[in-house]
Amino acid sequence: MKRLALVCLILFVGSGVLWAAGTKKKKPLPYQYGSVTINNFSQQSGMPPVVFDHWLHRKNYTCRVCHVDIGFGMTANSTKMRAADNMKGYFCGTCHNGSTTLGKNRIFASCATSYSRDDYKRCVRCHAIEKDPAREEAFHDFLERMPRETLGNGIDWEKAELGGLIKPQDTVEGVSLKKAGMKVQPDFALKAKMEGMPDIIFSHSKHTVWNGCELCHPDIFVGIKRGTTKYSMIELFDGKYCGVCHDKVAFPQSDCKRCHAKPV
Amino acid sequence: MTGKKKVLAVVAAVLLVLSQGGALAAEPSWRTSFEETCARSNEAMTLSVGELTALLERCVTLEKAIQQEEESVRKVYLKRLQLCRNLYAYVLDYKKNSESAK
Repeated sequence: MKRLALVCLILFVGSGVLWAAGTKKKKPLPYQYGSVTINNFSQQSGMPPVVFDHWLHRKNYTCRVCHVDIGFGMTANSTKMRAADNMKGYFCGTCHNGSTTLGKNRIFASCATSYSRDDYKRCVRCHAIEKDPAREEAFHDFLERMPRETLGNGIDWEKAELGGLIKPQDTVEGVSLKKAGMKVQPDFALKAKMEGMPDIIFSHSKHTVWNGCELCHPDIFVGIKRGTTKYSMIELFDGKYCGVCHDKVAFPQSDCKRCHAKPV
Repeated sequence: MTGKKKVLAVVAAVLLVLSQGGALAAEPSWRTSFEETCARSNEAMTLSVGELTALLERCVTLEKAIQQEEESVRKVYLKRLQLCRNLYAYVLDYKKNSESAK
């Protein structure tokens, strides 16, 4: 009887370990951090899925431009965009149209109904067939010029923006609306739930630079009055609230000190 | 300038004006209203209950107009409209609750 109980215990523990190993998320490499695979319709059309690199775009544009003005959803595959949308000048096609410029460079056009063998090289810039060493190299070249951070993709984006190393554009001509300047409330502290953990310093100004108002309110954060919404780290790690961006594109939530920053 | 050249210049000017008119006509009628409505999101917290209510009413009208457009336009502009509409509704709700709490 004892032997049977022991076997059952070993099987139970063993299956638990196997299950955990199978479901544990693989930590992305710095250049892959924030990469999103978009595959609503690509494979149906005989193209590889799109591998979108957030780092490559956020060095030039704020999150708000793409997720508010251009209309991209906040989760992979939620936008349901088609090549036809891009060709009409929406979504990727807003900038990737062969005529819009970034600095002195013309931004390559996105999708097309027909393409030559040469054009296909342009297709696979987004519809990535396999791991592209050039993409990785471009990331490392950029990384070398940026203030470093240990987690995420190894870049302190906040410092880079504050220090003027990157100047993300917050508007796209013909698409963005002319808006009044924003009055931003001062930073405030939020009480940490765990004993001994420093309180959170939340900065609206740091967030609105990238996001504006409507990207976070009310879809991600419903409460205006401080303390109305109670957050738990479990929910955050589950991709809610701060977890919508942090852990995916913005610095990971395991970098505790970036938020729990109130001196004790 | 000879008479022939003058006529050509007038014709060119008329064509230019017509083409500009055509470009303006190509812009959907709801677009200006959309820009005016959603451009106020940065100042949402400073708007009065009356202003927010009026903006929300415009959003309802805009939604109906955008629904008539082709798929790509609908996808982009309904999403954009939803973002600013939700923000106005959220701030309006907060303001109404704050007023009733006083």
